[in-house]
Amino acid sequence: MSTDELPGVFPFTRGDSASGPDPEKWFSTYYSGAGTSQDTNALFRDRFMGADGTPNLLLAMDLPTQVGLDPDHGLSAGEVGKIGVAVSSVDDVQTLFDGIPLDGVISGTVGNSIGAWTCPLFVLAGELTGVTPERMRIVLQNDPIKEFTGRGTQMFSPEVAIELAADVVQFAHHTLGASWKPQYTCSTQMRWGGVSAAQEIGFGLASMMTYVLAAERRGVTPAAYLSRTDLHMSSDENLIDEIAKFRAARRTWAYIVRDHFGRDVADVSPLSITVFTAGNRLTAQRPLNNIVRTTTHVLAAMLGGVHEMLVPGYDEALGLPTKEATSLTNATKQILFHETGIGTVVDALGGSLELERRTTAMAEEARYWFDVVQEAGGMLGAIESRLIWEHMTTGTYDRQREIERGERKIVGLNHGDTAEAPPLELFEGNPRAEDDQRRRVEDLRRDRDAVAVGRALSELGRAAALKRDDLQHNVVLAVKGAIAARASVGEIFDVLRCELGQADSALNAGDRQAVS
Amino acid sequence: MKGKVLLAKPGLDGHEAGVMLVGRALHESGFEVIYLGLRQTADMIARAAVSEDADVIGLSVLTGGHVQHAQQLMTSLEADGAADIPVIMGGIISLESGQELLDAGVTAYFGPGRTLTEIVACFEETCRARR
Repeated sequence: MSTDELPGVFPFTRGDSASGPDPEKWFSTYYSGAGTSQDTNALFRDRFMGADGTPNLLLAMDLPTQVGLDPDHGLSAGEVGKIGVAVSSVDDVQTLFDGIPLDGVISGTVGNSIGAWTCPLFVLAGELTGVTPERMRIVLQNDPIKEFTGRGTQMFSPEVAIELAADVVQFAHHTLGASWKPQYTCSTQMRWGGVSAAQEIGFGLASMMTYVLAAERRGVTPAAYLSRTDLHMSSDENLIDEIAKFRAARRTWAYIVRDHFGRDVADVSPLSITVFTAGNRLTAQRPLNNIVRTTTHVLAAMLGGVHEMLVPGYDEALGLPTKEATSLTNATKQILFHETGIGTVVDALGGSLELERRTTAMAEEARYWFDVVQEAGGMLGAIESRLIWEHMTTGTYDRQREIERGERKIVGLNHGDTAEAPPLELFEGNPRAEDDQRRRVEDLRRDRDAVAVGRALSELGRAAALKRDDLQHNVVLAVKGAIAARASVGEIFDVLRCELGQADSALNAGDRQAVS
Repeated sequence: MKGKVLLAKPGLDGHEAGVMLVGRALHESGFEVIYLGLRQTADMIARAAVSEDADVIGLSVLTGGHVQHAQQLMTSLEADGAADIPVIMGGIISLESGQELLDAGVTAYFGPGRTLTEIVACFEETCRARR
């Protein structure tokens, strides 16, 4: 029972600090981006500047950028600027932040396969506008494991991807200020993919442990690593279970850290949790119902003591959020905090018999799943054996069957009023984004110093060859040199892919498998 | 065996949960299912469908490029002399673009909220019609 426990004290069930999360951070985090850097700059200025607190503008990048391709690559066709903003060079990032001072916002991105590029890209963007790294607050997800367990933008083998991500961690801890968060682990995608709450904790913490150990090999201690990272979770539909989940995740992690690194480290390394509320539960049918769903997801996160929350719009199942949908997600959080009093007390429900019972059961099961992954050879083994995928597909399949048999009721889908709702006004992106972005890259290639680009890319090739022989060799500075010479994202990753190989289901080769 | 289904994801879209789910449902209802994986070009899919002698192709696209991918696949199938292999699509597909898919020659499409039962029935009917 955690009734004897205090927030901020090992094992941190009731909270990772005595005072609880800073509510200001709840209101200012946005995951956004679409079209070209010009389009997204306009979107940022229109929607987010002047909001509560310091805006945290987390860049959604388009798929070509996330897999290191230029907009004129054959595979990019139809995807440029679609699910996020197209960023092909340092010119684009300058356009993105035109009139938005880099020391006046928090920013970052979730491009997980391209962290070794996004990190120096932000450093350079600061340098070019006279902002030193110490004055910037940059948050990079840089969690390549996530791409092998659901999101699908992998481009290197898991081993290489983890070490490229570790380059960023090492560089940030040794060179950049403490205001840089170079990596955080995301379990959201696994949960959205179908795993249970306890599995989300167990698998998520297994990923995190992989990164702690990779950082340790680079001279970053577990305590130092853990002081600058989070576990980014979903916040799902079963309110009590989800509150129990956040509490159980902190407790489970505290014991795992104690068992691996000792009590001294565990005492100073509580698990910090951030959230992306359950976009997978939002339906295309009767989309206004989603506002109520989202409210309960946000409520669970607030009562569970999480630090930041990204909240998808009620139009999530239909496209990128409109301005109206984004405004409503803010209002949801604001009403819950300012008009209900939730969030003014740390772990307000701690001591409830049912919540404590579920927290304990969840923590025990979560540790079981963490150990299952360790026995499978850690996350690398679990990716190889498709263990995570097996649990995701089974979870989704069982749930879908329950819905279809009517055993699970989803209001507006198979229960209650299911009449077709009037169509919503949807977000309309720039229809010319692909052409515009191709032109921007053509201009870039024409205007730059070709000799300097060639030299920088050769230098990068040498660094990548060294990394091929010794995965601990850090390539971040060589990537930075290429970005500074105005090489494009595709040119930089062509060099890295050439030296460091591609993943099995790679950028041009399919991985055939039987479904069983 | 009810028939042989070839599933694939064209383009860069990496969201595989839906295609895995449909693959599981088809497999459990008695189809032989081959999943080609991510980042398939139209030519790769058409070639695989011919060499595997697939009864039907299932394409999953969640990022909005489905019309373009469908048109490219139809062109590739025609070039390989396999225009008779039916194509079923799934993903985030609106009513208007669904009509565009049908115009391009796609047999059927499934947007958000459709059931596995409906999807499996459609594959069954499509295979029956072909035999």
